[in-house]
Amino acid sequence: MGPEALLETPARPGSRGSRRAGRTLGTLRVLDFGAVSPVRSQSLWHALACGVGRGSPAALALCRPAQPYVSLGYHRPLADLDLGTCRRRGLPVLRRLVGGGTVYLDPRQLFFQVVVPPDAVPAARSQAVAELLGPARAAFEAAGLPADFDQGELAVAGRKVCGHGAGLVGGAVVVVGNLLERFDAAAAAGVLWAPDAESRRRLAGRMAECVGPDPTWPVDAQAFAEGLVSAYAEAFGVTPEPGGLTPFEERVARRFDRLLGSPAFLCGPGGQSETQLTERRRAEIWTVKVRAGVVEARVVLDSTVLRAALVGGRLRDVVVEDPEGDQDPGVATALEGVTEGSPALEALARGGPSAARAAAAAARLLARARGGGE
Amino acid sequence: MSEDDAVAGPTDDGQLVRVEGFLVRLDLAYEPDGHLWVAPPDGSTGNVRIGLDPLGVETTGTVAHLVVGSVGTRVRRGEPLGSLEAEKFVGPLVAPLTGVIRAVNPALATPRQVVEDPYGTWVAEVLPEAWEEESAQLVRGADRLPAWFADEVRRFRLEGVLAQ
Amino acid sequence: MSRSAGPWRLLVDDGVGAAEGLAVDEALMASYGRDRPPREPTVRLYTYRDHCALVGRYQHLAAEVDLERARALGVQVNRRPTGGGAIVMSRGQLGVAVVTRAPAAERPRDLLERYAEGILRGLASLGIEAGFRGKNDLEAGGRKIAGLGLYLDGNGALLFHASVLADLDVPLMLSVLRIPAAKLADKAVAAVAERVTTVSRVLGEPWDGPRLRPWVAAGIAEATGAELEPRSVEPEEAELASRLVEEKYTSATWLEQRSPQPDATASALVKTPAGLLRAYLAVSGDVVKSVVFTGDGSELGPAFARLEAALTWQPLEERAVAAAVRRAVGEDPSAEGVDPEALAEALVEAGRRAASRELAAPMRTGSCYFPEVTTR
Repeated sequence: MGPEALLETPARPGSRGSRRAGRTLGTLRVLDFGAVSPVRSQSLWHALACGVGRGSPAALALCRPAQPYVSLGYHRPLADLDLGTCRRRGLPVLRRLVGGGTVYLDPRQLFFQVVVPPDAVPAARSQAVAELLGPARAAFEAAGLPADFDQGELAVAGRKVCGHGAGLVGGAVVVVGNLLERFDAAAAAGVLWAPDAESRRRLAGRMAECVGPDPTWPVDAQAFAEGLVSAYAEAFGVTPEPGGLTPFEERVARRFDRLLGSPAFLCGPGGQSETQLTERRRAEIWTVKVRAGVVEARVVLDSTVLRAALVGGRLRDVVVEDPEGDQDPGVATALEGVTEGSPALEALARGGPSAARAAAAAARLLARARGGGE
Repeated sequence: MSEDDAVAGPTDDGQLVRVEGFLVRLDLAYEPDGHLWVAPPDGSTGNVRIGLDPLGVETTGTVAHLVVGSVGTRVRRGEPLGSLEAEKFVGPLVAPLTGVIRAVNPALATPRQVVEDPYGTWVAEVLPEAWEEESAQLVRGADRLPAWFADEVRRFRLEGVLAQ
Repeated sequence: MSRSAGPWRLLVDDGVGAAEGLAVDEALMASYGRDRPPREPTVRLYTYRDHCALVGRYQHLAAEVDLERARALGVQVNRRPTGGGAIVMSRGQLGVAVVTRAPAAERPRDLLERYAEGILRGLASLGIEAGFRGKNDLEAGGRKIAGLGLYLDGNGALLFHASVLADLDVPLMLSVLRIPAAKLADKAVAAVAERVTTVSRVLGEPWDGPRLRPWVAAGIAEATGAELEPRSVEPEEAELASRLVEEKYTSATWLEQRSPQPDATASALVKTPAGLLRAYLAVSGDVVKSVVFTGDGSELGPAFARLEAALTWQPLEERAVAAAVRRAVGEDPSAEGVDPEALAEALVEAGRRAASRELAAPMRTGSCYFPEVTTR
């Protein structure tokens, strides 16, 4: 079974078509999968989607991975990962059929999945995701995290508290999310490939700063689970009905158990090759999206290494290393807060050669970041 | 897209018109459900180029990834030709025609190009197996296209998918 | 917290055989799978027959147990579905199993701590002050008194398991389990006694599993807020258990299973003002699985027992190891003036050496009461 077979479409390419969004859902199945192995924390809801795609009622599911692991968004390259570290830490690596980034998942994250037939949501993707994630806001509030949507993500005081992804899986629309009870920034940064130790250190710091609730905030997972069920039941106007997987879904889950971590599937839909992996690692610009609007980056240009975060399109925490340059600390300061096309870049470009190199590196990073919609 | 000039006149080259603020090329055929454009078969190779139309791009959101099956793969109309990710949503790119993939645009490595230039950035070249029958199910013709496109824009606005 | 509505089922049995004891635990889990209606948890408080040697899920049977000696002594041998080291079970140890379906909202680790809290309260009501040591042990007076484990099956059922040392026949354990370091020590029994204690030893009178049972039952009821109602195994569960005995727990395939990732071991020698200190490490991947310290002849202070526990399951990284060493050793005079930085460095170096080495099976990973100390 290839991944394409799992991206089953309705018989006719019709989900964007004339059927009006917001079809009434008959009922909402609620499935609590409990604490499960890494692969089951993915395979169970993939199978659930296949069931809903074949006509089973809409569903809300919950589970928690019993061990930490790493999950690649459907289109993310394996090159995102430091596979050696994953192997040494015994972390399974799985690819999922929904979008989003390459993420570290562990038992301090409670996963939820909302699965509906495609004609129950608007045809436009962004709207479908917003509509299906919307009710979760109330559950975060019940958990003690008064989250609001910030650039499409649920966040509290600038900290993302819910990772999410979505897709058409097995003919059903799925939105998955997690309640980050506590986020292990060091572990999460550790599994990602980084060009050097300093990049990884900065990445971990950036993550600690804007992902997961503040460690001092108490998070009530029980209240979250209860709040989630009532919020979605209310949003869909249906009565929740606790239940389990159908025999068909159980069978499909076993197929996903084998698929999601299989070497061929891990390579991804674009069939990423070793060459691409090497290319990426040689690339002059390295970026990791930490949360919406926040990217940690390193740019190499000749003898210059520029380290910076991009926050809302502005350079932050800029460090310039240039062993052949004059090590003018003013260059990094001048780049602080700079946006694409800013006059400060031009001014630097007219300065000495090392200032010009730093400005060019910054300009490349800003140009690359423009419109990146990951 | 704020311009609200209902059906405007042809632009310079006569093949491009502005409809409800979107540019529509009149020499192409359109897959109405997926909002893909399909160019007529190339005279020498018989291949057709396929891409996303501006309304498809607009309602998809910021495209993060666009992947098409490998060259040589046979695809069927209505089944996945590839996959597309926008706003963290992954969905199939549905083939408007049955045929064999003959080329994939290397420019897809930078999906932003599809957004910036939807007509200029073809996604795949397919050698169609049943062009005559299947192209009849696409929307085409300079007489039909402006009205059809305007209806589509209004429908998306009604559904709230497009801003008024 | 999902406190129970109805009473929990309490199962009691004594003198069970190795295969039967493990099979019943597993059969109980079947009732808590996703495909079954929700039900209240089951608490099983039981003892094994004298004696059974049980290795952990990923251990090599013959490497951990002297099979010939076991046969001669009539000791039954088997493999647990849970991880961890080799143990000897008998009437002297109370087996504690809690079987439930963990809802996603509860962390398995939180459940483990709640059930372990029940055991701690049971011991406290006897006047034994015990607490957590590392992740998977309970200790009293700096010595291990219970080992804990958690097992989740593919259907969403959860098994908490503990063995509480009401008593322990140390010479028998030493003769059946392969514990070279203990045997190398001048006084093997004393070496074990340094690390392990029992209810009998703390209270100064003979205790055993059945005698300890009501105290632990009351402790669990208190910690979980549940009422325990004595009942029996359902016919369907009994049938499944006997099938598991036949098809799994007495099959050679199960018993002879091998670890997918064998552990590597190495030792490190560190000079201290008080003499030479030898550390034996077992590492799995880049994680420390166990460490045992021995001095050159003299008994080591309690700081080292703390350190052994603190290092278990630490990542093999200078920073983590150094922090664990500083925490455990600190300014404690019983640490004999050891330099935490030098010790950490030596440990990590030895661990890396072990991890990088090509491994040859069989490898010993050790008993729960005395982690492995093979020299290579």
